[in-house]
Amino acid sequence: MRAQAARSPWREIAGIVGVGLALGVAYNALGLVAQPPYGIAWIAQPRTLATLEGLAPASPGEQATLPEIPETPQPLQVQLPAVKRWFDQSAVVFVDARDRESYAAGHIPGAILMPYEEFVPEQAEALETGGRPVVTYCDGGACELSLNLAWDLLAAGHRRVLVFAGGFPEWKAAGYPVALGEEPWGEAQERGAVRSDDPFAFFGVPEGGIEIPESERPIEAEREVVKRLFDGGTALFLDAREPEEFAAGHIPGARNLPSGRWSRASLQGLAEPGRVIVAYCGGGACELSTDLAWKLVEAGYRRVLVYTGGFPDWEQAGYPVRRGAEEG
Amino acid sequence: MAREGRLALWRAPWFVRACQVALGAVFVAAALPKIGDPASFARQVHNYRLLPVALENLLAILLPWIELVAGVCLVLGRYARGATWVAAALLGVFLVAIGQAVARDLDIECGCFGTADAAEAGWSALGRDVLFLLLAAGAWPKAPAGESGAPSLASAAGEGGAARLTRRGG
Repeated sequence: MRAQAARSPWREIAGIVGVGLALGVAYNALGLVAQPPYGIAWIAQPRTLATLEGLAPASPGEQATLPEIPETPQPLQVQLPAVKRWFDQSAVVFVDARDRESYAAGHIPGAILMPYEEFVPEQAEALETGGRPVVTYCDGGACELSLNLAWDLLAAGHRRVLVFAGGFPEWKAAGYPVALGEEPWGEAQERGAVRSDDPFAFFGVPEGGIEIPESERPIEAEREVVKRLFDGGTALFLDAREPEEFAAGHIPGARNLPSGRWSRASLQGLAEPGRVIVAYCGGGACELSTDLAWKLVEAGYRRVLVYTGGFPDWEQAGYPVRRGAEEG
Repeated sequence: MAREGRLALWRAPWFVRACQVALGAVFVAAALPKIGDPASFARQVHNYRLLPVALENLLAILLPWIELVAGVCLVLGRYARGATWVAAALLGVFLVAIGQAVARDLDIECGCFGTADAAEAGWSALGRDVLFLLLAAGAWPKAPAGESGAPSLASAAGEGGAARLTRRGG
């Protein structure tokens, strides 16, 4: 024994590694033929995905063509142009694989929240798609939550699962609609958007654009959200700047509410409590709109947005601008 | 004096043996959950983003068995020298893997003890790895301090030579 131990350890090392390799190979080979099988494929399939062809427009401006989505054992990668067209047609179910905070801070309207970190197979099985394909997404770039979730959705029995690799950042950068907040389950149920027995049903893309959740804090909103609300025509816009600035240019239809007129009494008569209110000021370091938004929340409003870019951002985007003092 | 005392402990056969059993137990405990669920381990390997994708499953299939064999050898005290080398080499690889995960700020599971180990591959996992490396140093079979004479000298020379050789090779 002693003479053996004194020898070079290479033989022992080779022996240990060799026996380990042999056992591993044998165990997995048995595992592949066993019933039920427990082995795994020798060579891992690349998890970077096949891209569904024909989904990118040939030239800018041209519409993306939408081929039939095949049933595959693997998730398919899809690109933004196709994703947007499916979104417009409500042709797919969006599933957001990020965590709750990211979802609440902005998601594709109608996307179902299914954080991969909290994933349970029952959730994937309960996902009601109405025969539509599922598109998962997360934060783009190196984020693989959507890819991992896509594999789990396939394992749960879904047959057409797509991964939008660009994810929410690409969607947002393109200026497409964004929904905020985490829709409370009960409210979605009341609206009839969800079947009572199915907690993960598709909420559908809300009419007229964006669904603003009730919140006891002001919600920050960016240009695209504000524009959708403006186009919708039901939101109340409040300009928190001084009258001179307001007269020099404001968002059409906005009411001027400089800081001298923020008494609780005057704020309470502004609108019915459920109405969406967008407060804005001069953007940048201007905090008047945030201050006003908090006053509005204190006065009982529950859907108060702060347009962080403010009027300069609006003007820069080339949206309609009105000059002159407040009407009426 | 104190230093000699510590060295004596370091070379004491019972101490070396205890380190071997402890290190072996760690390796067996780490290997079994991975062997039980190779698919999950493969996913954890993938998350480290170190290997070509094609090799990830092979690693997940084979690595736990090498851990297991090395661990069993250490616990039984058979081929302990080779097993200690294997264990130390694996710990070195894990150190690099976890270290790069920390450096790249990857938010991933350690996977060190298979799926049961949901700990993040972060500083604590790194510290644990270093502790195990110390254990491996303790488990390294040394010529007991009291021995002298030709056989022991020969054995010490052989030991030193092997160490140099391996260091160059690694």
